[in-house]
Amino acid sequence: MNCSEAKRLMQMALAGDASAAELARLDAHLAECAACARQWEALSGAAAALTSAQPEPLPQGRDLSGAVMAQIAREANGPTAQRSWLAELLGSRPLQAAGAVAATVVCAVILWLAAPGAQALAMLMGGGTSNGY
Amino acid sequence: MRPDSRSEHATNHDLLQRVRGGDSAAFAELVRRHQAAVLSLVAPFVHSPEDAEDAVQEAFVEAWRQLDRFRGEASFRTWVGRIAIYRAMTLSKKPRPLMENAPGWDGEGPQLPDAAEALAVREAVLALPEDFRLPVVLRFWRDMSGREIAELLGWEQSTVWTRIYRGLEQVRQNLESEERS
Repeated sequence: MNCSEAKRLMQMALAGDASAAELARLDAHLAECAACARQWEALSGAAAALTSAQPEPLPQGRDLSGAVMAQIAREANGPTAQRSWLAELLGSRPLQAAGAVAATVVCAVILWLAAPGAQALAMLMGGGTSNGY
Repeated sequence: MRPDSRSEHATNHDLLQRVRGGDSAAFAELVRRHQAAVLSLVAPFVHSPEDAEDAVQEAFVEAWRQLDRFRGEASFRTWVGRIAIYRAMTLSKKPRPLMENAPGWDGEGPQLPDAAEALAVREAVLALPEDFRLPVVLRFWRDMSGREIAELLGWEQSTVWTRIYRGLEQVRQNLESEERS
């Protein structure tokens, strides 16, 4: 076995996927190759340190099923559903929908212009003040 | 939502069939059945228990949305676990202090030597690029095999092997440079 094959077996062994026969072949190579033996010692040492340093497990907390189902229900009835309704309207009858939107905008402008404050603002923007400057 | 006695003894396959037929109580039972395992999977990748719960909750909601795409090649738990892990990785990118729960660490006074070493190892792991951190954490903190990690993450098994190997090399280098500094 060459060192490249040994490296492959090291990868499999560190991942816990090497068979007993493959581990035996790796051991045989490590007994003859100092460089691979050093690499294996370093990496298996790092693996052991990692295993020892794992964080404490989280306590098994609350049941999330209620929160999950509540979020699903909100999505079914909330803004996403409303956007879906609008998207469906625009997609099926685009001209009628565009006309409805335009009419709404025109009505809004008329109502705004009819308001007293809006009329004063329109006069100021139209050029000049009441004293003639 | 209270458990449904009809659901408690049903198989995952039966529950999924009922969910597809419009039975939301069956989906709630799937959540109850798998939430602990999925929470355990994501916990090492987030900064707080709250983020872990958020990742799990959002994963189950996403699974509901995408249920039509679930074909059963992997188990339901594996599929939701995959969604949750990637959601957890996104949450982990938010700037937060590390969750320091090393044995012997109480936040006050000098740290015990073992606790300081454990913290250094964990920081070296958390500093890994995502593609290395995922398989390394699942292998050494969740005791999953390379084959199981490949199935969970949807990777080739050889990719898992390579990334665990390179991740360990990088952890070792990080620890050695930390010792020298």
